[in-house]
Amino acid sequence: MKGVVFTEFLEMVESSFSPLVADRIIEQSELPSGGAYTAIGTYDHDEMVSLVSQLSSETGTPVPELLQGFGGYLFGRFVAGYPMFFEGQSSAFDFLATVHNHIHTEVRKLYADAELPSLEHERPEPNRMVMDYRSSRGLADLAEGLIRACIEHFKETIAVSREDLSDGQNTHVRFVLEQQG
Amino acid sequence: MTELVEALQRQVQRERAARKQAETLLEDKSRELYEASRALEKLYKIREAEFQEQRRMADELRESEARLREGQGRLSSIMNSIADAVIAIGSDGTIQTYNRAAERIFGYSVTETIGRNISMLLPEPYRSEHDGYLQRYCETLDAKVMGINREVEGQRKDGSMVPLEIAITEMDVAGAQMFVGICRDITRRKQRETEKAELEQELRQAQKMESLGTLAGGIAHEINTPVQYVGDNVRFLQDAFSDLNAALQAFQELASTAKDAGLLAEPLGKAEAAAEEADLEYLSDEIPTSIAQTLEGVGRISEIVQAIKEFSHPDAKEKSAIDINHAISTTVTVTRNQWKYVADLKEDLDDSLPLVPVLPGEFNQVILNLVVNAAHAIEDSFGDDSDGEQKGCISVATKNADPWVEIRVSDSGTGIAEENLRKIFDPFFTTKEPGKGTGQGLAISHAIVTKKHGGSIAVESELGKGTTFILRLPFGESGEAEVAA
Repeated sequence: MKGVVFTEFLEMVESSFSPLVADRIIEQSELPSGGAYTAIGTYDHDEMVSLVSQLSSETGTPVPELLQGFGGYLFGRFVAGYPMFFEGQSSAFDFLATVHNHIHTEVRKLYADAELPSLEHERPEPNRMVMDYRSSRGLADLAEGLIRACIEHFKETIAVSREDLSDGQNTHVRFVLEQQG
Repeated sequence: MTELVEALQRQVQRERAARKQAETLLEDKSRELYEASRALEKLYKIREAEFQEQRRMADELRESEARLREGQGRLSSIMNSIADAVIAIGSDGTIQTYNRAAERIFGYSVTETIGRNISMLLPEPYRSEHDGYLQRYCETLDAKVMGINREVEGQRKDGSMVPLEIAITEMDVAGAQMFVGICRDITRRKQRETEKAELEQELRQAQKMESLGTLAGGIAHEINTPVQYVGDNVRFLQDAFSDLNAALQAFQELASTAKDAGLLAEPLGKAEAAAEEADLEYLSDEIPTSIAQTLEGVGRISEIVQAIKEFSHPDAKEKSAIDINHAISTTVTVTRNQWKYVADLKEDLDDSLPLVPVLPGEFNQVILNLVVNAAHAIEDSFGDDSDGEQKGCISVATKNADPWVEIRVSDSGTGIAEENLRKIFDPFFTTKEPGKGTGQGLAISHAIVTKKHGGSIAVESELGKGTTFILRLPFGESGEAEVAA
């Protein structure tokens, strides 16, 4: 997993909780990297699992909720760091449709070895979008957090439902987005 | 407070470790970048070498194309400078090559012929049959025409024919069967051959006429001497009989007086018996007539002999100014035997004609040909009526049509069919039955009038009514010079 996810995660913990919480979960996780992350490095995905688990224990917040929160935080960082991806975009459906083919392509230019999830989408109806998340990481909650933050960014009212198609592994999850009203 | 300080210290350690990781990554990336740069340079050199090689090959290709174009241009120039038509066709008869000489000979442009069938250049029936020839050859490879020069006729765009000498060769171009025909326009050669044949015929005719003329002249000369003394003697007999007749009448008057006086009865009786026996009265009446008829006959013989001598004219090579009317009368006399049984001949000769420079022997031959032809045309129309009950009419007229002398020879014969009118001056063209005409008379006459005298000869004819030949000869000093004027 790219180091930028770790650095952003720890920054979120520091800002949302406190630097001491961040230090604690690092210390308690007994990470092979020792918790020293650089954004351009690549680290074991299990370290993130450990950190999130420790944060859940530390804060009493369920892991899915933490991951969704982290998704929301990441989207905010994304908007701030890469405004060019939002130029000309006026709706969540339009933006989400560009993620797999456009944004992931740009990510690969910076991080050639990045293991990105697959996000396929369909528009069976004008006000309905179906997105299939596939990743061996099983971070569907993070994806949901990102989707919901996106909807919020465009100030739209869209109901999001999800269906796990991987027997609880969260490696293949279908999100159904329906515009309201 | 201590916990916070320791946490910060750990944080600093992690940041330092992260920085070192970042520096190591940076070094690795720098190394990768350097290696990538090296690889790119190497790739660039390879690509550059490939590019140079491609450019060299492109240059070579361009040079080859230029050489090819130059070669094609040279070949095209050669093809187009060849005087003979060069035409290449495929095995289906489609024209693939057609040079400038072919355009000139056939009248079709290259764009009108390429891709079309070669049969377009052939007259019927070859036009319809050519594809069959070609197909049979391709199947059997048996053809008598391959590689052999032969004479054929081609058809121009305007439909006219052109005589050609053609040689066909077969070739294989990239596995495709092709045929190349080299066609030479032999129109001029044919004309020369025709002219040569005409000249030879003219020469033979002239030699024949010269021989006949010499022979006729000799015979006329030999006849002339006895005819002269026969005439002289007959005229002597005429005078002598006149004298004798006068003396006889005196004796008859004497005998009558003696008888009336009763004298010399016995001798007078014998004389009267002898006179009665001899039918003196009849003799006195008939002998002068006989002598006069004999003299007339001898006179005709003299005229004919003179005419033969003049007609046969041991041939002059230079023109001399002659009396055309006299020459015509002479020829009419010589040819009398040809026309007298089938036609009456009327001369209508203009006395105001000047002397005309002609080759006398050849001029006479033209008039002879026309008069004899007229007689034959009438004979075909009326038949040979020896009794003279039904005859046609030949008229020979002259007229001064300054600067020309116009001679018209007309007949009331069969006339000439429209389709034959344009061919009558062609050598060897004749409608006469075998043995009666060689087909040379009018051709030679045409050549004599037009080429040797700068004149013209035309014909007007109406089928079943008759024909008129109209000759016009210039009568200036040099003849031909004034024609040009």
